[in-house]
Amino acid sequence: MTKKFWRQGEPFVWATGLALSLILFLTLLLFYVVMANGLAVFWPKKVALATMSDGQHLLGEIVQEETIPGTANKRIQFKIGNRDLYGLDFKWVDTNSIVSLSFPENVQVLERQEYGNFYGYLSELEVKGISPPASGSNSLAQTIAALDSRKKEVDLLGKKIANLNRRVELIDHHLAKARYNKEEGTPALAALQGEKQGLKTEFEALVSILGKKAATLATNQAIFTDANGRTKAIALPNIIRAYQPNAMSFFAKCGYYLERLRELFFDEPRESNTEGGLFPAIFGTVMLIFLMSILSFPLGVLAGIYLREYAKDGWLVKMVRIAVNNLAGIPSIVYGIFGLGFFVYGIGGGIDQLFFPERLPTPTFGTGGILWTSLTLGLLTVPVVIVATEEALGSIPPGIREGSQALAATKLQTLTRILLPMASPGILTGFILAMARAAGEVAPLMITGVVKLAPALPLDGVFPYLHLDRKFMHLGFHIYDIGFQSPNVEAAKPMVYVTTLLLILIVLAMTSTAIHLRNKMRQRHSVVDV
Amino acid sequence: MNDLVDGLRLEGMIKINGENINDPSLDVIELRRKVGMVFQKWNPFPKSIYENIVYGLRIAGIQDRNVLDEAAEKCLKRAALWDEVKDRLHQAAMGLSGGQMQRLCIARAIAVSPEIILMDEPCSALDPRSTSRIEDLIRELRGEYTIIIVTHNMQQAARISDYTAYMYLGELIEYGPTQTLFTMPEKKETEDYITGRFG
Repeated sequence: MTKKFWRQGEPFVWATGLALSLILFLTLLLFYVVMANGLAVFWPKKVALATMSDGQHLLGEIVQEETIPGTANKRIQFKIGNRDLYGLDFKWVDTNSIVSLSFPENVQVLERQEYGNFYGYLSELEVKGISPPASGSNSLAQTIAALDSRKKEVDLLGKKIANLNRRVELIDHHLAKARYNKEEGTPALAALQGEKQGLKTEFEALVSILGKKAATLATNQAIFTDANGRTKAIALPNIIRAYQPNAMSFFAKCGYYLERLRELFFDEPRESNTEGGLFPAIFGTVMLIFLMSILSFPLGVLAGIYLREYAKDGWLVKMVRIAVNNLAGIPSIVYGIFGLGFFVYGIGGGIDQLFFPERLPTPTFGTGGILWTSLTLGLLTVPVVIVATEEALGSIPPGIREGSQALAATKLQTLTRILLPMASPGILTGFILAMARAAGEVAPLMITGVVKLAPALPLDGVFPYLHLDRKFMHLGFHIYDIGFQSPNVEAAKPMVYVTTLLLILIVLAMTSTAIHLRNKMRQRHSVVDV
Repeated sequence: MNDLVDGLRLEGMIKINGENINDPSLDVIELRRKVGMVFQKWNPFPKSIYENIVYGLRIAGIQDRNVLDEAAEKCLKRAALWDEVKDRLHQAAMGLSGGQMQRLCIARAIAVSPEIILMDEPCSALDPRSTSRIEDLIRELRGEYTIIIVTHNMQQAARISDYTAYMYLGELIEYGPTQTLFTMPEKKETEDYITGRFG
């Protein structure tokens, strides 16, 4: 009886099912944790006012509640913000010492340029140059909105100054080159020097205007009081957003949520990356994957074609094949070190010696940059593409090749018109795997060009538009950086979840596009199944 | 074609119009243009029926849409496939039945107007009905093309050929008009084979 039971393979079916469900469970758990924590970050949380037994008050968002180890008592963690007043953003409070908890409607939450959130009550507005705001619950938001146009003016001025700076830098490069080539004293050079001087005076004038404007703008301030009545004056331009979460309706909360999402996708980070948007990191991640694909895909496919179609089978080809397969298993940090040594210092340093000797010792290409990072990642993904190409070409029935060649097609024609279209789904599958792996790599990026905060995107409106020598930001590195390297880890935690979610979503989006493309190709070039 | 196979051993000589086809200096592409081939296992390309037919012509550099259309229709008609597929020329060739696919391969071979068509057991994987259709087709085409067909089926050889050669383990045993070979074979081995004493 039991023998028959084992022979029929019932337990084996269970084992296979169990293995699959375990994997599914773990994957779903991962998604659940990331989604649950990541999606809720931007939802406005209620602010609680706790009255303590010693008569003190405490205002903040309730973060978590736990039992104190070894006792039956509980404690609550509040996010109290006001780092400039208290020094800490978070505070644990014993539940026994709380007399009462309430959620007053007039609590204001401010998101500020610096020092994180502020929780308190608005007591007074001091504004100049605009009509006095109507008093009421919305007066603060209205005043901030009224100042918006002037704030933008200041921002524009800042951008102009940055532009001037870049032009001066460019002239400096020209001058350095001329000096290096011993061309001093030519009229062209004098003209350049004059232009630089003009730009410098313009620059200084703009800086002083900017300083004045910013100072006048900053005189517009609001006086707030914290839970215990301490007053704090905050300049209005420093307030990014003000809201009253306890008084917000559901739709107002939705609006706030969407606004935060917009900020996440399109704005720059603030406060050493723990607040604000992720635009540069998203941009860097996507651009890195694109560049990597452009570099590694053709290389891998061509190499795979040579190995399968043209190379004479022998021990050499076998060795190459083994080597390629082993390459796919090398730890990524090794690729990173190789990239640093070969691409950055070797090739990059060589380029600097040849083309930019006047800028040395400041490196141009001889330092980490998006080009070297994508080359390093390309090297890491190329073996996967080679193996996939070989497998896909090898799985095409020989009859198809013979049929094509019997019709007087050359090897090249057979390859381009029949074999490659038929192999494309398989090649793409390998490529998708490679892309997914590359998108999640952090280690090799850290030493070949990713930085915590990049001053400019690698693609912008300034000639030559594509700046392959620039350093860039990356979501994977961002997670590592704010999660484990930030001085205020607790405050950065929500952002870690959001960034993780975003990275997963971007990888999912890119792979599903590729999968969709592959399925389309598969339909068009289905292989004989007789 | 056979140089694509590994471990090949060649003896003897095959001449077409006095030219040795195994001469290394010969342009194989030119040779393959003159000699078409139909394989034992049908091997249509994973493209549409139309694209299968015009593949050889496109390879030969013909771009003109009208010429290609005309050739596709003519060849499908010659291969007695036109009536069955004329409404779905641009659908996948892989959706056809085995016999239809084999006829498609024949149509594909004649599209490039070869002088000789080699058929390597074209019916060995087909049912009797499809076999008879292909045999009809071969009979029809023999006025225009020299067809060399390899078969294990003696009745088929007797039915469709003008001349028969009996080969055994790579050696040519006997060659002659089909009528003569099947009724009055000169060699003992041939007689053994056709009378069923061997094979």
